Amino acid sequence: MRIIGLLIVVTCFSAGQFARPCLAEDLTGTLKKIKDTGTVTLGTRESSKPFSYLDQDNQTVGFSVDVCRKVVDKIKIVTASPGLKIKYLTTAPSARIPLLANGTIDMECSTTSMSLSRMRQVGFSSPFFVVGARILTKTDSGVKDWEDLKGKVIGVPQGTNGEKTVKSLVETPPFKGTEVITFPDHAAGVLALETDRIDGYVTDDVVLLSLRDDARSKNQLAVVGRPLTFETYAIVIRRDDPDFKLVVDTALAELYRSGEIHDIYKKWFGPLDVPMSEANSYVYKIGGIVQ
Amino acid sequence: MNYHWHWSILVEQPYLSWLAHGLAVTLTLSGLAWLIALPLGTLIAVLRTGPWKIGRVIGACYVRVFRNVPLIVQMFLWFFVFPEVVPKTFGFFLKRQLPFPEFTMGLLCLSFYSASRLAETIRSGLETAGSGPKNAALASGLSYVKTYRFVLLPMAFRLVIPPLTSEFLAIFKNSSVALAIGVLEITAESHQIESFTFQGFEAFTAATVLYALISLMCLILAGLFKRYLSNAGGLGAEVAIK
Repeated sequence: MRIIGLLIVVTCFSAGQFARPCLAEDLTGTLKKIKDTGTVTLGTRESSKPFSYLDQDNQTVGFSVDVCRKVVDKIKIVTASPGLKIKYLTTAPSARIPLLANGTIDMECSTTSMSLSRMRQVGFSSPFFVVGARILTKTDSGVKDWEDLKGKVIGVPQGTNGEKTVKSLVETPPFKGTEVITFPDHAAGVLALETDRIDGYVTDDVVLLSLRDDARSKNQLAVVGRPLTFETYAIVIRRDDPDFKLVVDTALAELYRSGEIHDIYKKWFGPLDVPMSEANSYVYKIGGIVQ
Repeated sequence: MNYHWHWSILVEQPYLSWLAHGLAVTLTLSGLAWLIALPLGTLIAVLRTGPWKIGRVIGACYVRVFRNVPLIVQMFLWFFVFPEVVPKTFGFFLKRQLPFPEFTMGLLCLSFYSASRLAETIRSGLETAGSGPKNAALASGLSYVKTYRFVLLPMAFRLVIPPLTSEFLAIFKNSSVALAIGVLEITAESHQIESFTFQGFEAFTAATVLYALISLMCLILAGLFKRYLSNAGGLGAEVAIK
C-alpha cells in the first residue's frame, strides 16, 4: 500500500514536471506576450518566392513560413497553450524593424540574411538557409562566370548584400570599367535583363532560380557562375530576449536533427528542380545541436 | 518599444558618405530639372495663351499628358518603355552608351513633368495680367514676341512668385520618385542605410532633416528673389495688378 502510494506521488510529480516544463509565471518577454495574447504574429512577405509569399488563394506560404510554423509548434509546448493562433502580417522590408520593435510582429519569416551590423538592432535565430550570390543572364550572352562580366553592366537589387558584394567586386582592378545599376525590386531587374539593359543580374542564387522560373522568357535565361559570397537566412526576433531565442533555436535544432527539414526542402525546392546545396546540408547537420 | 537607437551610425562610414552622395544627387537632379523645366514651362504657357491655334492645342496636350500621368509611371515609361519604342540603334544608345542612364532619364522625366505644372502656374499669371496690357502693347505696335517678352511675362512672373516657390520646393521632393528607377538620391540612400543596419528611424530622420534644410534654403532664395524683383523699377506684384 505504501509502495503504491509512493508510486502515485512520484508519477504525479514527474507528470507535473513533464507537462509543465516551465511554469507560466516564469515566462518573460515575447513568450509571456504570446501566452497572454494567445497569438503569434509572423511577419511575412508578399512575393519572396519560394520562401515567403502570398499564393493564388491569398494564403501566406513558403519555405520560411513552414519553418516558422514548426517553431510555433514548439512555442505551443513551452507556453502550454495548445490553442495558440498564428497571425500572418505581410510586411514590407522597410517596415519590419519598427513592427518588430513595437511588438506588432514576433518573428519575421522571410529572406532576411544575418549580418553583424544588423545584429546591433535585432536578434537572429540560428540560420535556416544558405545562399550564394550568383548571376542571372541570357543564355546567348556568353556570360559563364564572374570573369565574363568584366567591362559589362551588372544589375543588383538595392539594399541587399548582393549589392555590397558586386560593388566591392567592381572596385578590384580587373573589373575596372564595369558598371553597376541598382534596381528597387527584382521585377525591374529582370525586366532590365530581358531588354538588354544589363548583362547580368546578381543576387541570392535561389531567388534567381525562382525569378527565372517565373520569367516570361524562361528558356532564354540561365543562372551561372560560382557562388561568390555565402549568406545565411535566419528568423528575425527582438534582440534582448534570450529565452525566446532559445526556444526558437531549440525548435530549429530539433527540425534539423529529425530530418524533417528535408521534407520541407523537397516541398518547396523540388518543383524548382533545385537539389540541396552542400552548404545547406552542412547547415542542417551542424545546426542539429544535441539536446 | 524595443528599439535600439544608434545615432552614431549617421556619422559612421560608409553611411555618412552615402548620405552625402544622396544629398549631392538630389540637389543636382532637382537643380538641373528646374533649369530645364522653367524655360520649357514658360514656352508651353506662352503657346497656350498665344495667338496661334496650333500652339494652343500643342500646349494643352502637353499639359494634359504630363500632368495627368502619375510621376512614378512616367519614370518607368521613360526608363523601360521609351528605349524600346524608338529605333533600335537609338534605343541601344539609351540603354548602353548613355552616361548615367538612370540619372539622365530621371532628369528628363522630372523636367518634363515639372514643366507641365510650371506651365499652368505661369499661364495663370499671364491670364491674371489680363487682356488690357496685352491689347495696349499690341496697339502700340509691339509684336507678339515683344509683347510677351517685355510686357506680359515680366508681369506674370512677379504675380506667380508664391506658387512658383511651391513648385520649386516640390521639385526637390518629387526628385525622390526617381529612386523607382534606381537613382540613389537622399531617400534611396536612407533606404539603403536602413537595409544594411536596420537603423531606419535614424536614417529617415537624417533624410527628413536634409529635406527640411533644402526647403528652408529654397524659401530664403525665393524671398531674396522676390525682393530683388519687386525693387526693379518699383514694379511689384501689387503694381502689376493695378
